Amino acid sequence: MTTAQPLPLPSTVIAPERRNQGVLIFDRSHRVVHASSALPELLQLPSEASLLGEAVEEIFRLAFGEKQAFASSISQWLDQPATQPVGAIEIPLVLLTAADARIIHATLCSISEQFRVATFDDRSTAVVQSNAPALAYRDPLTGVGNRSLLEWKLDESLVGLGSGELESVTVLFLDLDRFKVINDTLGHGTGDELLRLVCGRLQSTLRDSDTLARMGGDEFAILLTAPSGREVASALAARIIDLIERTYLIDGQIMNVGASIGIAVAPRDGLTRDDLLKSADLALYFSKGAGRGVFHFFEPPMAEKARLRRTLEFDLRKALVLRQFELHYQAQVDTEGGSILGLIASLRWRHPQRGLLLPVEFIQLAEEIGLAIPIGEWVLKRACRDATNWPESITVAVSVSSHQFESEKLASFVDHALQAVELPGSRLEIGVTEEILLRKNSSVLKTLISLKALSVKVVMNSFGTGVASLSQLVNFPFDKINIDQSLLAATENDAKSRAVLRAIAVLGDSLGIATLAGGVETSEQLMRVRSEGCSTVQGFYCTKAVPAGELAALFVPSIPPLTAND
Amino acid sequence: MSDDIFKILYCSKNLIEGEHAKQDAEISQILQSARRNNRKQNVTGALFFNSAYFAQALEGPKLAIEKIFENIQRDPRHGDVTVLSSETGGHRDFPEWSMAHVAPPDETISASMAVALDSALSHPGASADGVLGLLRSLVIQED
Repeated sequence: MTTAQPLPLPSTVIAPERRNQGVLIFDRSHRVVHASSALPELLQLPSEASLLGEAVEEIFRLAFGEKQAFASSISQWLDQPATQPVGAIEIPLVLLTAADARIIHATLCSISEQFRVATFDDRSTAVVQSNAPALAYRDPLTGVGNRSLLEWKLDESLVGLGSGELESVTVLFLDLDRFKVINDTLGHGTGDELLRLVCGRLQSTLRDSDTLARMGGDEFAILLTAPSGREVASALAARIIDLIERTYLIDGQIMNVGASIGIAVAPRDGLTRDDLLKSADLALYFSKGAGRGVFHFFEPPMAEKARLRRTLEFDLRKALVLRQFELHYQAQVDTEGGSILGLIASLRWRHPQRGLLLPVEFIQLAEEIGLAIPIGEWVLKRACRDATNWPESITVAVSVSSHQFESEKLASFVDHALQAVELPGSRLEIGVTEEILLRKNSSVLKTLISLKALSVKVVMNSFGTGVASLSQLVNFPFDKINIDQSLLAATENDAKSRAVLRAIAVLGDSLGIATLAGGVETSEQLMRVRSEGCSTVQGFYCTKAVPAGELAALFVPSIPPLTAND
Repeated sequence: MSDDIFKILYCSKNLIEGEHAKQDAEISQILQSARRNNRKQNVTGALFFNSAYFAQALEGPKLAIEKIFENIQRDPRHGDVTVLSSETGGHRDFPEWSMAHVAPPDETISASMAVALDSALSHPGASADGVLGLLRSLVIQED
């Protein structure tokens, strides 16, 4: 303070100080002429005396950090009272303290031609005192902003966009891949620390004007308001994915997670907070579907796809109750004698508008929305019931999903399904996928053994797609190997594939495991399968999948193409 | 002194662009700040670099190593970080160096290091001992 002067300040201005309130009076050249005693502590500033004579902008910088102090809104705010009559309405502003991110509500008004007074209220204390922590703007775990902060900042930015102050507003939604596994296996303490490190890495990529918020769980959002075209957002997203994927070292343990990102840019992808967040969320969903570890900008077709998915989901949830599922059956035929050994159940959904749908069109969705188990159970029950109408020599084969295996109730459910219709266990074949075996999970083996104890035959489906190895065939006594149809298709003009087919058939034969070649469509393929030694065949060539009601025709003694002497 | 020494060895791809002079300047800056910080925290180690790779061994109190490692992860000057080994206990491999700079004395050693790192990057864990052995032998030679 260089010039000493008696301050012509109205005493009423200085008087009403409260503990949570600070007052700062400055002149037209933005020099501080009075600071209340509560102010330094409130804003975590140096001692009171040193504030006098200081530029008010410097006080803001010390209290709220560079990014808030030099935001254009602050200088506008500071200048605003000059255009207002003396004692005019208070102009509010919300700021976060740089030191500890408390919420400060500031108001400004002119008290004379010469002086303006800014008052600062610590609302974070008020929030805590009023027992409304939901209103706080900070994520307690990581210290970054929370959803409320992001929404508030986004609202503010969209106003700025509307007034032309901002060119664009960009939102990045980020979701960690594989975080749940870490949380579940290494404990929540490690998971929490990982989230803190992730926030640190995210923060290190951002500029002062950007806002980072944890939206919940392992989901984060970043708001970019500084001029930022698609290139800036792309570069940032790529850098974030790279950084997040790098190794973490927590409590001596090495771990890795990934990140998927969706980006939405206003005004292009939405003009309201909700629209923009929804667009970013859809883009994120798309990134996760596209293999994770990638980023995508929102595109309008994503919204259409999401709408179709929602409609399908709505229909799918009703399908069981409305009895829209059916089982179709395809024959497993003995390659030697040509007789039908069994029938393979295949699920169909008779959709009221879209017609008959194959599993590929809805089964992934069913798994995602938790319907895999109820649908799978329906299939088991219905297949067992249908089989009671067939000759006793004919088995029924049902594939079960990994979800059903995870429930660990599979064996007891199968037991009930068999008993309910008095079907002998030996007439049921349960098909499992290769990936179930890869889990090396003792409960998987337990379930498989329980199934065998019911005399149920256990079949490995889609063998030869590259996941399971031959050694796994030895670890569990499978009754049958279902060779994937892609392998058969490859044998067309590939001697190596043919050798693999032969090896599987020979191995199966010597282990006493039947081999089934799926997807036989031509007599040439049938010949090849026969000559390589596969014992059973299933495919269009023999029969196509038919509804249960049309099966009677199949049970005539033989099928012409197989008995022909070719 | 060897109470709860935590050791970590990683390698990564060098992403520093520009000429040798610029690379050298960046590296000496990395080394300087590493040495300053490490000494305070009782951390020792060694850093190898060439135009393609970094390999770094860090050893010291676990919390200090974790903090340093996290800062290293955030550094844009490298990428594809692969942790080759990490362990608690044992003795320091580089007790004398707050951060030894492993400068290969000749091209052949740099090349053999590059081969070791190449294989380490494609088979993590496979040649951690080899990389560490090279780092140690080079530090000794330089000494």
